Amino acid sequence: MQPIRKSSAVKDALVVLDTQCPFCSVQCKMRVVKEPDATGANRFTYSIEGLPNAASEGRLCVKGRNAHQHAVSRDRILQPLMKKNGQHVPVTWEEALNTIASSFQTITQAHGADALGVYGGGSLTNETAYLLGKFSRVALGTRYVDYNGRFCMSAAASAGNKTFGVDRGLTCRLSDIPLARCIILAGTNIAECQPTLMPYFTKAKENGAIIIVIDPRITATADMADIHLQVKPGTDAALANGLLKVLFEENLLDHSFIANRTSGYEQLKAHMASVLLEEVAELTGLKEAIIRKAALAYGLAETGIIFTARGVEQQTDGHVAVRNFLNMVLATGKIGKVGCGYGAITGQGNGQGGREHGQKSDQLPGYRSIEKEEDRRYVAGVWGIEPDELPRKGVSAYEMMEFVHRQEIRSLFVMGSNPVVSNPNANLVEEALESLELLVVADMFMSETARMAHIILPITAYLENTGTLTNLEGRVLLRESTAAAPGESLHDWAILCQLAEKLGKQHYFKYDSAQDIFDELRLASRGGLADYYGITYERLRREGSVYWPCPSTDEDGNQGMMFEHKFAHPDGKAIFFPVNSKLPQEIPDERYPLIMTNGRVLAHYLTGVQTHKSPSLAARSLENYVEMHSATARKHRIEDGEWVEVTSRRGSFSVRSRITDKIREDTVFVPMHWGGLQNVNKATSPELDPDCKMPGFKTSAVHIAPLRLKSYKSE
Amino acid sequence: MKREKLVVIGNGMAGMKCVEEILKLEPHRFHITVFGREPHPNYNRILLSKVLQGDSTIDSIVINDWSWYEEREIKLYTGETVVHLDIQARQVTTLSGIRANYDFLIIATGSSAFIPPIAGIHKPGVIAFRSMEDCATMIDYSKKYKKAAVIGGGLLGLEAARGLLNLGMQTEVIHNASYLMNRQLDAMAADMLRRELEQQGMRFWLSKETESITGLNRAKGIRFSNGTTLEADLIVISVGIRPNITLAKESGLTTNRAIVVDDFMRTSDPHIYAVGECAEHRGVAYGLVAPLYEQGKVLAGSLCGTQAAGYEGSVPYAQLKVSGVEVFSVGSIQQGEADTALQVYDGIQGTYKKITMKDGKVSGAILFGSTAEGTTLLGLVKRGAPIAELAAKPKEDQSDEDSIAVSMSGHETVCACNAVTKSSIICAVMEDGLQTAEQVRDRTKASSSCGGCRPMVEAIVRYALRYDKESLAPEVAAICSCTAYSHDMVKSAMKSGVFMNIQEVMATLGWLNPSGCPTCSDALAYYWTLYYPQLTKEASAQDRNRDSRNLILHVPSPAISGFNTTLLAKHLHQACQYLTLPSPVKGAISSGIHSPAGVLVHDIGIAGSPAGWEIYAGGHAEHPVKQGQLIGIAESDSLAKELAIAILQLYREQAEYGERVWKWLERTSIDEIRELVLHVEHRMDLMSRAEAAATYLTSERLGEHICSQ
Repeated sequence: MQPIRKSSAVKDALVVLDTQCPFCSVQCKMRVVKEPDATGANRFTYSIEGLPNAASEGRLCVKGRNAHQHAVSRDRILQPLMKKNGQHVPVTWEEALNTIASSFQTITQAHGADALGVYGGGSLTNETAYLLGKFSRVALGTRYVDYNGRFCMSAAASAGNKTFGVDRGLTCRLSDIPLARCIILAGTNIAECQPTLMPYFTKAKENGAIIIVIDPRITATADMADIHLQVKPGTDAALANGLLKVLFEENLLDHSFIANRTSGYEQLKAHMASVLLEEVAELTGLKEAIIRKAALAYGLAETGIIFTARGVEQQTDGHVAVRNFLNMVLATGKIGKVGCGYGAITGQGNGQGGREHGQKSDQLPGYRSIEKEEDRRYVAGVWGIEPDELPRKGVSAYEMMEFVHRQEIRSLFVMGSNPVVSNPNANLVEEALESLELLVVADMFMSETARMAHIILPITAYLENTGTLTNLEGRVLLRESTAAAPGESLHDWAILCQLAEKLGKQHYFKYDSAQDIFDELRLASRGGLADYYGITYERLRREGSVYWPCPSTDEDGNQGMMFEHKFAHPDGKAIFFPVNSKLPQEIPDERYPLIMTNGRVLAHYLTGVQTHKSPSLAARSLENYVEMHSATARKHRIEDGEWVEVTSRRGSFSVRSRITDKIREDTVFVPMHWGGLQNVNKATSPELDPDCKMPGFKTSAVHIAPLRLKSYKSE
Repeated sequence: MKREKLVVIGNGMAGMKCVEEILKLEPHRFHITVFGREPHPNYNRILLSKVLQGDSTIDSIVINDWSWYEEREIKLYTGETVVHLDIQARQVTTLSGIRANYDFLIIATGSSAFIPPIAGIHKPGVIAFRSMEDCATMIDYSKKYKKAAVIGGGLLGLEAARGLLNLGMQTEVIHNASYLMNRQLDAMAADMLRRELEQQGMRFWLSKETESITGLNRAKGIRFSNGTTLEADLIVISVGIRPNITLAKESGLTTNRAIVVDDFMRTSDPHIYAVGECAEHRGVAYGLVAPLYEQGKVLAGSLCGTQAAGYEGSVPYAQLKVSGVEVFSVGSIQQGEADTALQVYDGIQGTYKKITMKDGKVSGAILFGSTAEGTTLLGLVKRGAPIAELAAKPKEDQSDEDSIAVSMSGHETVCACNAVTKSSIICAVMEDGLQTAEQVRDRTKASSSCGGCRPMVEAIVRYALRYDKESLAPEVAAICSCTAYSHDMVKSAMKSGVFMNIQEVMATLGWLNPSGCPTCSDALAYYWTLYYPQLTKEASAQDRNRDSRNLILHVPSPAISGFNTTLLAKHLHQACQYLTLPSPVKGAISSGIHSPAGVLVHDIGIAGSPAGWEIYAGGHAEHPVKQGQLIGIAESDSLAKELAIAILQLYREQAEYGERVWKWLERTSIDEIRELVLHVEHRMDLMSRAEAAATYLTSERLGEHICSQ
């Protein structure tokens, strides 16, 4: 064997890519520099640097620092694959697309277009999300399109729409955080999920803000709190009632704001009379004194911001729980001015943009409604079809899985998502997907869902695919991508165009670039709530980022603060909504004595399809676990680090235990980034919030037992 | 939209900090032109005293080098003094006639040393301490003369004096007040400081007014107002600073002591802003770095239109940068301004702490001897924290973080966001001479993202500063008394050089004992098999040990499960049986918890689990007992085999001869090992090197076999 010698020929093959980290809603700008490594063996080293921008201010977390690894991984799928005799074998694009198109047509002829389902994702660009919605309605003619953002944002989004008349993640700017004197972080673990935002909060604290964290666990975020309300999972709505009760009792209300800017106050006031603080304390597992202390801190502060995230939202009462926190915002008048507001901390990279442009079953681009005639007419006009040709609204993501299970949907087209891991009640979903006549998955990797697919279409990664994304603030950013697509992979939007052509709908899908799609999106969103008309690629290049709504190209853009003078309802007012204190959806009993909640860890994102492929991120979090209090472990005879079977009424999974004192004794926590036998969703509940169809991921009654006590059954 | 023209007068810390902040917010909004009077790019003026004290070089205190300006398309004129500002025409003119128009102008001209009107003050040998040039002059003088005097016993004066001492000069400090640093300290702390500095060799003349500088052609000494005199060849003036405001004043901007600005750093002209030591905000002109940085941020925000709230003034604090002396001061400490809330003097440790209060709130503090609490106290003062907070948290000398900082091992991660280990922080302090957690953050990125590890980073910086280089540097031990070289040195020599045999290695590296001893011969023989497997016949010593240095696998009969331990063991055995190892490796393979094999106490342990095969390394069942650590999880048999071989090969390459797996693992970072073996390409590399070695070693064995027959 020859020793490897340094090659001199590759010295100046340096590639610089300015891009955005794909791994959360902050969308940190970063620079990836690719250099041939010293061995010269066609290997490269990568160095990553944060780039200055208004949201992340040049910071990156461990995910961003390693976000190039999966994109350049050898595990990328580089050719279309088709399952033949139980094996995925490479086929040409021609064969793959023809097979899909003819299968779509056969199913449509036999069962109607609504037998086709389309399933998108919150990490897709605005362009692709928009096009996926249009593809479903125009190329396929189906009403059944929805996306994983349903699990991410639907509770907060619907609450924002109902209360304010519009849903934009933050009603204020990130730069308002340091100016708030009291900050409530309800069910959000920013330190692990959006670490680069933390300095905004530490700065607020340095400026004297009181920080209140609501979380059943002592997370890294709760470590920073002045007041930690270690609440029972699923009782956030009740807790907000308690807080409101104190605000009312102490008269810490902004009466002139209430009178001039809101409606429904009288009902709330009447409802408050029936709220008893001791009942709230009982329900939430908190002491009255600490609820009072937190309410006073918020009520007395001159300025304040409330943030919610999945802890509050992924509940079967997520919608009303958020609304109850919004009641607090409105009652104290802490909105529409500097250092005040409400924020829903979006989880996915494009969680915000992904929900605005029509990949949701009931929506059309620009946050228009698919059931409003005026909106249907407008969008049909932009698309060049008759309003009657537009399907009506479909069903939410998990409901689609049930439709698949009942074989009402016979073919599913999945793009940028891993539904078999991310849906609740994973066993049913797996069964459902197995029954499909055609499952098409467009992905970069062999995800758990892709493994089940009849046809897998290789798509490009964020380093290769240009597009816009909207960050948690509602700030639109342009991610320009210059890396070459590896193998035969195609841009997701280009696949939709080609498939449309096979279906004879090519004249509705004539785009040469993401920018072409964006220009149509601008038009389609014009005059809608999420109006992007004034945003152009040119402008994004020049200004770095632009907040929506942005109706005009020449206006300097709004500065990001919403509701300074009026809300988005026709009468300009925001709406109070009385919320009843309820027990969580599932109450622990003798058989299932513990409450299981779930969430993220620092090194991973979503179901880990991307982050597990990054050796540096995988190295930091190798396996799933169940976190429990030491007293709980003692009670269930579980030692630290041993295998534990977690069982709910839906199913069970096995993970290692992690014993800590940083969690309630009645609660266990399991991260959500692993599929297969370690998938927490084998045990989560498919019960949906009636208002927004969000599944109640965060509260399931479970039973835990050490695996060593279970005897192996031979099968 | 066309880019607006932004001109910055002054290339110092305040101006450039502001430019950096602007670029963070709006990298493409402005065409930026910078005029600097000094001929250098922007440097850290605060660290001049470190340069003088020999702790830093001039290069190392440069903040933004030339390429920084180029990369950001900033036009930089150095050595250009702006002499004229035309507010109407929005134009500036330099001494050499360069003109530049602006849409917005930032004045960041800073300040100059105040030169008091003393007779003879302009004689050669009298200088200020403000710039790189002053530093150079002082270094120059120290080569020719012996006696130096510093007029002014404030912060900067003392730092200059310490530098002059380091340069080997006899140094006298003259101060007009009755105690040193009288703006920042009380008499008690100042007295402790004086005693400490006297021990270092400084001499003090307190309550002395300088009347004149003596000497004919150059400075020869100082005459005081009471008639006494003092000899000195070099006299450094450090009695205060004066904001540079002539330009602003002449152009008609409103000035007072400095250029008057509002809360958004705007001057009386809407297109002109001022920042730093030349700006006066709410009647205060600051002379310390933290306020300048805060102002820079606000100004950047106002220019970019993102600033919601104005600048509200800063709480100035001071920290003396003289090695061996720790002094910290913040807020109001003078009598009459505030009351004493707490005063602690520890004569044994030589520490002193005083905290002041006003209206029930913490308003100032002095620390002498140990400044570890400085940041905390600064926070309390900034916030105007109620005095009760002091009682609530009696600060111990050693915080939790401090004791963890000592006990945690070097490869442990401190900053999870940026993957910074303890040793890289220590290295930054030791090697690069950094002093504060901020500097370490800027250099290593530790605590730059979420900031949660900030207290830990601070504690490690404190820890590193407490010890000198020697006591923290890793020990480099020679292999044995036959050589001065360590294992690592010999390995890298053997890896890079081309040797024909082991004797040549010993000869080239100058082995003291030409034939070696059993210790080094065995080590060399092993390294030979590692780097020259094709020539392994030479490794006669290795043959003696070969059997004991093989992989031995323990595989109990499997329980019924999906895991075939026998097959995996067979494959591993085939791949590894001829691989030489630094030390015997015992492996165990179990099909799962119902078929225990002791996987956690073997060098390599593999166990079936609900997640797939788990691969552990570094267990040890003898003294000292060690628990194996999880390196990876494999969903398939083939991946399990790959991981195990990759770990073994990595151990072969990285361990020292004789080093057990657990010891190697403790020395290396577990995250790094995981990253390497989980990385497909690196794993393939390791596998192919293991395979190549096994092939050579196998054929060698077979050859031997045939010969012996």
